[in-house]
Amino acid sequence: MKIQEMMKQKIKGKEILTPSTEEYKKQQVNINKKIKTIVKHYERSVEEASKYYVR
Amino acid sequence: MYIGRTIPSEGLNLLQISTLLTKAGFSPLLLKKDQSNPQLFFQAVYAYIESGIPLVGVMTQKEHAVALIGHGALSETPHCGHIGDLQWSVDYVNEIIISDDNDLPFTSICRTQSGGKYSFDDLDYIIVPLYEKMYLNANVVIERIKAFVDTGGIKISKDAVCRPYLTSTRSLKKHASANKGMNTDLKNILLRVPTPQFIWCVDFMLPTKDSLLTESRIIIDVTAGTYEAEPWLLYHDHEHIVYFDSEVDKWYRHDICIEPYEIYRNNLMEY
Repeated sequence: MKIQEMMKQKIKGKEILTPSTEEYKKQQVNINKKIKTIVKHYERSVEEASKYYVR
Repeated sequence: MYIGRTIPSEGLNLLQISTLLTKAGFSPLLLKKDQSNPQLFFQAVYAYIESGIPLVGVMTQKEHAVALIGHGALSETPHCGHIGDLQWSVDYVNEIIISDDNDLPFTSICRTQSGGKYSFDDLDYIIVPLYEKMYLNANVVIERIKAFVDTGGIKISKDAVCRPYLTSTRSLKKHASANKGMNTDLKNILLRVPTPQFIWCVDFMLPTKDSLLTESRIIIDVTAGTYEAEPWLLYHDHEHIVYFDSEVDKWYRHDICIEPYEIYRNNLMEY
């Protein structure tokens, strides 16, 4: 099927309230804790960047 | 700003390199290797290299910096263990292709010292010249993906390998429209769904005898906030496609059987 023909028909999915599982939502506190650690590590990377000279 | 003598040069510190990139219009990201968890660092290195973005790779012990411009071919088996149940494509990479002013073009940093002049152990900082609106960093995306897969948000095969990269919407959609093996409903939805200029794309690849195929994919909004719980724009596995239509502010699910299709390769050239 040519792309122009394919695009003539619009696929309409079933409406859903949320894309994630309940389990994923329950895990948010844990996930955010891990992300906070990552963000802190990135901040530390910036703070220490002036210590190192390279060529 | 550097106020010392030009010659003999002390070199540049990493903030000065970052400042130079800022002046050139980029929004540089600095990342140091955490010695207690080097895999996180290399997952980020791989994700940005796979995005086709040349990085400044720093070897502080050698007081030297090189440009990281690509990676070697993926091996058949992983070179190191993987975190949890997910397998990551970085574990299948044995060398990072570099441009080093002390050497010929297209040399490499090998996973182990025996392979060449530099090893992965030497590399301990990267500076990534990102565009201003690329907010979500690689490690945050990887953390969200791990949680999403672990909580059953998307179904993937046991031997699927996770490959995250940044790309432009235009390039991904162009590649999708030319991809003969991609399901037409998926192609239709992917070409229509409103997306920002740049996106994170996470492909779950299946290694076959002759090639690599994508069996599932998650497309993530690169402009989403760091703590946004659901930064997805579209994802699919072999049973359904879930996508967000920002024009009507609603989520939709389309149930359909999707066969694996050819992987996206536009970011890096293959030699």
